[in-house]
Amino acid sequence: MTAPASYPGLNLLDSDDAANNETEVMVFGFWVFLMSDLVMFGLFFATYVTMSDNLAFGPGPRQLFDLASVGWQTACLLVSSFAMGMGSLALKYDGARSRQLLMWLGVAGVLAAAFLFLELRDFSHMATLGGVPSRSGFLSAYYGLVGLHGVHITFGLLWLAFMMTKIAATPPDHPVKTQVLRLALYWHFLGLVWVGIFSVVFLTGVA
Amino acid sequence: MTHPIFGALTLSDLPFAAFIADPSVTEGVAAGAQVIVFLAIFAILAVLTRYRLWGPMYRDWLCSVDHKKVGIMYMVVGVVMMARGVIEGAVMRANQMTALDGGGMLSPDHVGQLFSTHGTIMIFFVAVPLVFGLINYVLPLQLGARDMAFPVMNQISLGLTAAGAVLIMISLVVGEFGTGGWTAYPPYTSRLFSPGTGTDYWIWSVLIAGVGSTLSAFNFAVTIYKKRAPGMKMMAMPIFCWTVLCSSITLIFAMPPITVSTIMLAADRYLGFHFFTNDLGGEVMNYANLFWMFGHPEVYILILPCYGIFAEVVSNFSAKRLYGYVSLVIATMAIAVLSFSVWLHHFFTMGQGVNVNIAFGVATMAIAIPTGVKLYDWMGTMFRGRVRLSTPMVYLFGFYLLFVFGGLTGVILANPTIDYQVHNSMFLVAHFHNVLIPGVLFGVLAGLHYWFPKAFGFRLAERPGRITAVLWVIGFSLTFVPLYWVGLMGLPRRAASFANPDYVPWLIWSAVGAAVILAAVGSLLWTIWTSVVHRKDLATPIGDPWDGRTLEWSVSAPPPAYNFVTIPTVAGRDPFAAAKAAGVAYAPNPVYADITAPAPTVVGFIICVISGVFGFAMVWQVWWLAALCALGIVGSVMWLGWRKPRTVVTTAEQVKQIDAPWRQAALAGPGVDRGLEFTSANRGLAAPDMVQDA
Amino acid sequence: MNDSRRDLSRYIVGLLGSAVLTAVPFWMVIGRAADRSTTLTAIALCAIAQVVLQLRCFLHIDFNRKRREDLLLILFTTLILILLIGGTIWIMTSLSYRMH
Repeated sequence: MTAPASYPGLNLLDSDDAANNETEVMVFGFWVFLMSDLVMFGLFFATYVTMSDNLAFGPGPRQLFDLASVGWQTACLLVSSFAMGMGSLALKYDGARSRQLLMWLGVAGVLAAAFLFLELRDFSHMATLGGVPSRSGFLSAYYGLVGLHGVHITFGLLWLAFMMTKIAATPPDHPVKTQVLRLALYWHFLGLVWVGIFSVVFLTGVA
Repeated sequence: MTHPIFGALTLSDLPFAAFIADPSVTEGVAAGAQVIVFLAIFAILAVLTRYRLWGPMYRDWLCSVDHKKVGIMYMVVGVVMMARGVIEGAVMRANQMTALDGGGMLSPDHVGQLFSTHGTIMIFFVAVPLVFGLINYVLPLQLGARDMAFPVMNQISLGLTAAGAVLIMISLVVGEFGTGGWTAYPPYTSRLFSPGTGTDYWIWSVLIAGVGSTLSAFNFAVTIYKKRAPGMKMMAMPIFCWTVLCSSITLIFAMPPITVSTIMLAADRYLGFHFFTNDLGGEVMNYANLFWMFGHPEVYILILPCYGIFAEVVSNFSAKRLYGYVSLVIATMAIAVLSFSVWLHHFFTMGQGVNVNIAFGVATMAIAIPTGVKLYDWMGTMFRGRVRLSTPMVYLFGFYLLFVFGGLTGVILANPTIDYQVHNSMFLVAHFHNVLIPGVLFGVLAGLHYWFPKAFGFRLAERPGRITAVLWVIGFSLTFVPLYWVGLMGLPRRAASFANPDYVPWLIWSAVGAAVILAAVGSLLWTIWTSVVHRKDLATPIGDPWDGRTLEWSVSAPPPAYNFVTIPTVAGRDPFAAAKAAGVAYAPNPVYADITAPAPTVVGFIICVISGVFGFAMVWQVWWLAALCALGIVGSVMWLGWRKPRTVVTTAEQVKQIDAPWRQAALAGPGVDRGLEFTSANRGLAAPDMVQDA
Repeated sequence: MNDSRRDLSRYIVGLLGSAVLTAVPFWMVIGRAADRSTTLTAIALCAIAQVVLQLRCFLHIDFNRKRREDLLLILFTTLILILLIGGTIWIMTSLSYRMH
């Protein structure tokens, strides 16, 4: 029952060589894109680190960051990543159009939306304290980095909604599997970036 | 406040408005440029209409996802933009020789726009499209593949690059371009000091084209990793493919820094962020840091494929296996990695400590070593070969003569102590032109002459080609060697005027050189024109005019859409040379099968248009239009993701009809030997006795 | 269906391990459990460990020969990140020291 490992990542069970090759090309290409995205995030991280003391006498991490909220956001994103993993397993074992896949995608989406809601709520609360990007270099760097991640999550949600619609609404000859695999990669990648963010921005800022 | 419908656009931004308001010499020159743009547009529209080319252009070119067509279109973009870039350079040289004591014919603002567009155009819209065009055309053929890994994304990349180019052309007629140079350093380019829309033209044309380049990098890298012919191990790839791989990997990691720095600059300008402001905790110097993290690897991204072209050319025209293939691969990888460790040498004088400067200075000097290895390897290839002085080889020798100087002045500049004296002087300007023109441009032109017969089925005429090459060598030398001297005498770069009359004679020589370069560009266009006129004499339909060694020469000229009837199985390096030596160059009875290819699509063209309009809307703050275009782009991508990918099948019978006549001609022989290579007897078939392997 | 159990257990290990590696630094910061530099070290180590864990469990990266290209890609990216981020921090710190 074990398919030989034909390409990196979660190998699907019932594909032939040509489909495996095709998937390998798509998935590898997407990895390459993720690595360039990682460098982009990395430079926002580096900028944040060099600007983290540039408060310009404005509010700083201790005044602005709500670690409890960050904790909840982290939980949402982590479980969302896990849910996406469950979705990948559903793709592998239950099929590309299965109810299980749709359900897990939905769970991942709801959790990511909750993450975004909490994050935006934090931003607006920070704004009332004067924590807006135009206030200081530190805040610009903060909103740049965390905002970039939030924009990525937003695009991910759009993509997720698109995928769920496509799975539910298109006939079987419309390819879906490699798209779900790539979406899952993207999702996990953003979870990883968040590990960096909560460590470097939130925890370090308050520690 | 901007207008709800027209954004920041006003009547004074329209073409000729500035000249009407102020009919001075400087505005006259600008208006003249605008006239040229409109004449060119009119001429193109007229030709398309007169010869009823709209339909074919749309169906066969704008909708094509074939890497060969995409490659040719990239080259067209590059050549057109090169005309503008070279003219701008010539205008600057002409202006500067009259600029003693503030007397230049152009206003400082126009000088500022000129050097900004010149640099931006030459790097992003000449060098990148020309190099990517050649890569697009040649890479799949050399690898034994039918197309790139992602053909539709390839088309989109072209569209995005073209959109950026169109945006920068629009900046010539609507409004103005920025005056911050091709590097656009803040705080000068912040909203405070550059309040107009000029800098925004720079931001959006660079961002849009940058996305296109990044996507191309993914495409090239994945194609090389995953689409090689069976049996072609990495160490059996043509050397050009290795240089493209390393260049692509470098590009993948070099584009994010400029995306980041440009987005941050845009955030400062549009949203009031403080990434690069002087006040409220901005870090101005971080911009230079981020920009050059891109800027330095970028020049290696451009030169590495050109090194690959020279290597292919030298091997082919010396009739000899490339010497030191392994060392060339290692040198290429070393250059790619090292290129990420030197970027600070662009701002030695910015104020960081001595140890930082030394570390980056040493790394900069180190990067000269692998380049030297390459030069010696190519000389090793020529040694005991049978060298033919074709036009590509003339460019190679021009490279050897001139690029070595440029590299040496680079090693000089790598010394921080010396750099403190010559940073941002004309010495620097001379250095980088000295490596870019003999390096990148000569490489592209060598590649153009080398692969032109493959793409179009006829050679470029040799004599005009060599004249063009000589004009380039002379023109380059006359223009830029005096600038070394003038820089050492103290003239800074980007100077609208100066006070030292001793500069003037050198600047006059330089302007004369610029005229020779204009003649060289004209000669290049004439070379192409006269070759088209005489294409029957120059025809090489069988596809191997130079006795080539790699797979692209094993198919007809032009190649069929599917490249290969059957994907070849490869046993080692230089597979076509090996096949010819074994007498099995053209298989007499191939097996014909159906070939499936991705269907043409208009989506790349749509994305091109929408992103161009988006850029324009963002520049002029026409928010409703920008939002519509953003939706359009998202919608186009969603449509791509939703649809069932369509394919086009060439049946076995159709393949046979295309292939059989060519194969018959190839097998009929007898082919030509070297002496007749540049005559009309050369129909693209090499005689067996041409093959000799050392 | 051994495969599916193995796949599932991998994801669960990833989830639980990540939860622990998140909770530890959060607790250390919120509870002021140690001095700043110890806390920062703990944050860094837990973050790196969690990244590696998620790479392994969620993203299926390992040393398998067939997946070598992906691993090499990640390692090369890491090298570039070290050069670029490390370089930025070194340069900007030097500038900050000399100019502020």
